[in-house]
Amino acid sequence: MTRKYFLLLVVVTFSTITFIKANQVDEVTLVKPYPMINFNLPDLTGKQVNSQDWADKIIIINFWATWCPPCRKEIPELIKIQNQFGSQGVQIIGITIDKLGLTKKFSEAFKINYPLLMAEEKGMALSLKYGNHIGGLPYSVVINKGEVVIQHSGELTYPAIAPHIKTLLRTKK
Amino acid sequence: MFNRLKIYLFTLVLFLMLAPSAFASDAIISIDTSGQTPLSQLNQASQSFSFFNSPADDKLLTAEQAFRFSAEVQNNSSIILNWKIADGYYLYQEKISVSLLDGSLIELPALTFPKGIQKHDEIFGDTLVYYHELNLNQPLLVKTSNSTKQTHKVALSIAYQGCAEIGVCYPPMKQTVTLNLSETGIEKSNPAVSSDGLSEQNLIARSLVNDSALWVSLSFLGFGLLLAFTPCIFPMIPILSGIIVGHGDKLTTRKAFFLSLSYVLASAITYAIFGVLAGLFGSNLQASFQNPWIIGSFSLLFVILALSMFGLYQIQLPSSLQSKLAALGHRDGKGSLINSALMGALSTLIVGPCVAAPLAGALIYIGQTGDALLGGFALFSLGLGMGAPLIVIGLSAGKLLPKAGHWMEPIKYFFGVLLIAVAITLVDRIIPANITMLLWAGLLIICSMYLRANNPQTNTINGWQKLSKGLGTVFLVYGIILIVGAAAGGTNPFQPLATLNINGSSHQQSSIKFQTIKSPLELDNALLQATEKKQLVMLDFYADWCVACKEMEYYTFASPLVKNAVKNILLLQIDVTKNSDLDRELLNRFSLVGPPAILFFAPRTGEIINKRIVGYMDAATFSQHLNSLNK
Repeated sequence: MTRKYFLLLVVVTFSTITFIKANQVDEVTLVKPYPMINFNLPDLTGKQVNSQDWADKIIIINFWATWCPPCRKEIPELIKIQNQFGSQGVQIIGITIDKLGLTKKFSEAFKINYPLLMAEEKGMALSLKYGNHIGGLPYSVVINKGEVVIQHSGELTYPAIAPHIKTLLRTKK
Repeated sequence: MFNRLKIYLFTLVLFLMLAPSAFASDAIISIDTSGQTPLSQLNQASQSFSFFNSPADDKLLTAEQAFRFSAEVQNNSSIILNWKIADGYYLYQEKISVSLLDGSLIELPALTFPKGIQKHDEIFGDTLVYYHELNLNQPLLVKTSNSTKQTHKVALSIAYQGCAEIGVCYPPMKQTVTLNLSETGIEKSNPAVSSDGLSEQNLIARSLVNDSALWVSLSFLGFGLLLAFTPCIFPMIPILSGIIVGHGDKLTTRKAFFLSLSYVLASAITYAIFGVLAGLFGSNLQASFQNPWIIGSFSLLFVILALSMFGLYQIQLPSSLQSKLAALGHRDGKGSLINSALMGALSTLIVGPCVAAPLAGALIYIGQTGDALLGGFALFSLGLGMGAPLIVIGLSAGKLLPKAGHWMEPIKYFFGVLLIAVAITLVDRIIPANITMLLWAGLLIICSMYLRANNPQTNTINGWQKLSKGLGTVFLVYGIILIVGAAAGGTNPFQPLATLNINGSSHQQSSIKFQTIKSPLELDNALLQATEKKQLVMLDFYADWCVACKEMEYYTFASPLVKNAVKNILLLQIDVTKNSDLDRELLNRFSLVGPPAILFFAPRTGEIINKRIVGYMDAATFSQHLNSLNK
């Protein structure tokens, strides 16, 4: 009898944890830090840009595409983050899995205040290297001192990411 | 009860073969995450615990899992495209398109879409999307032309794109479907599912980070540790302590540790090389096990190894060679790490024959996965496990060296019995089943003698001896029952007396009847018939040399529960024992490495890929699985 209760307890505990985990949509995932993967990609003007250019900053890489509704939804949030923390050494980089023409129009319409790099399929491969195992978009990582510390699938929201950025900025000083 | 006994026996006897494959099959079956049973939740939970940095995306599916695509030709004039869409995922209507890749022999009239669901998007406005399942009928207009007398291949490219409700989208996906066009129309052909995207390397990397790989490596580490407590490891101890003691007084603990570590690492790498080779030459390894000569010689080898365990003789390198190696370790006063590593690799080759039996099991298992990287990692873990105690011994500079003594004898006997059991399991594939039963009977009875079942009871024996005597008696009685069963024509060692059943109700225990399929053509015909009758099809890949297949036959298929559940299903079986070209072709068609595998086909939509079963499944689970198909 006690064994039955114990089993029940185990099942309930596991289910509860699963349920909680499954509902942590907004939460970002802190990962065991690993070195960032360098890349060289063209920006909207066609100029090659190297990821090392931002080596001294806290970098947020955002993989996105114009055909992806949740990606478009999070762009105002990203603009807000860039406005808020840009002067303190935070840099958002958008890696666009898309065609140049559409992206240009989009960037103008939304007044995106951070660089967009063009990557198409190569961008998906890069996101996989950054831990995007399901291959979905949007996908974001936060890099501090050359190491990836946060990975996130799905929309990034200001309330979810801001506390982490603040912590990183504090430890930076 | 016998069933349980059998499971224990198999875990013991084939511990290296079966335990990891049990994990593997778990992983395969759990792909279907749509059913939110507590069990699947548990499964998900345990998956998310396996990595300390469990990413938030572990509740998300990959595009291939979220949108399962299949295609089937219908009535020679159209092709049905089917998407099974996981709960919480949807496909955009406007992103679905079908285009001709090559061949101007056919035309594609415009698609007609079923009614979709309106989804509001803040920026794009309202779009039409599909949930759960989407069936599209793409008509195919064959242009009349003389050239259609020959068979032509026509390739269609199907593009689609979708998102998850949770707020993640997938890049546009493309699938290619190849059709055979002949004068009779369009033939059914296997849709070549080729998505553009991940390179092979990425896929391998992915397979390494998934849970099953982690579990495989962990279990191999455990098995390595187990093997370390067999006498096999003893030849390595004098060599290693030789290297370490060779340092005399100057030896620091640190140095001893690094010497042992490099020794053990080199040994593990040698194992890893075996693993990589097994992975590379993979599937052939098990296939070659269908050859009676190979099976025969292997089981003979195992018997020879077993007899050495019983102390009839000793298998080792010629003592001259062994002492030379040990001397090399001693002489090497400065004892560089490289020398120590070299000795480690060499020692592995010495110990190799001793652990041949479990190693063969491990290699066969890896061969089945066909994954060289996984194989390397698994055997590396095995080597590390085996080496771990050596590091401890090395650290103690030989002080902790276990003394060979009487306590080792029972362990040796135990492994001897295991080796003979492996030998019997092997020959089981090529000899009549009742002879196998006699062999089991022999093994059990001899065991019972070692356990002193027939010694006269005296008052002086202690508890352990009583236990041993009791166990021995159980073995003796079961051995005798097996002999009786075999004499009566029984074939199942776990139900030896089934044929003696007075009511003749042994029929009850017979397995379900399959229609045998010998060629791809036969399979196509059978599937076509089933489609006409709107019947579900179950396709079983079987081979005499496949342990899990036999288990399925004995237990699962013989269960009344299962028999009831398969009543309305067309049962097809492909016997790939001979591993002929046709067999290979059939296996390759479904990207299978080998049996066991059970595939299910729905009348119109083709194989229900997420319902595939690889590995053993008990009767209750199996009939549940069947019922889930019928709904």
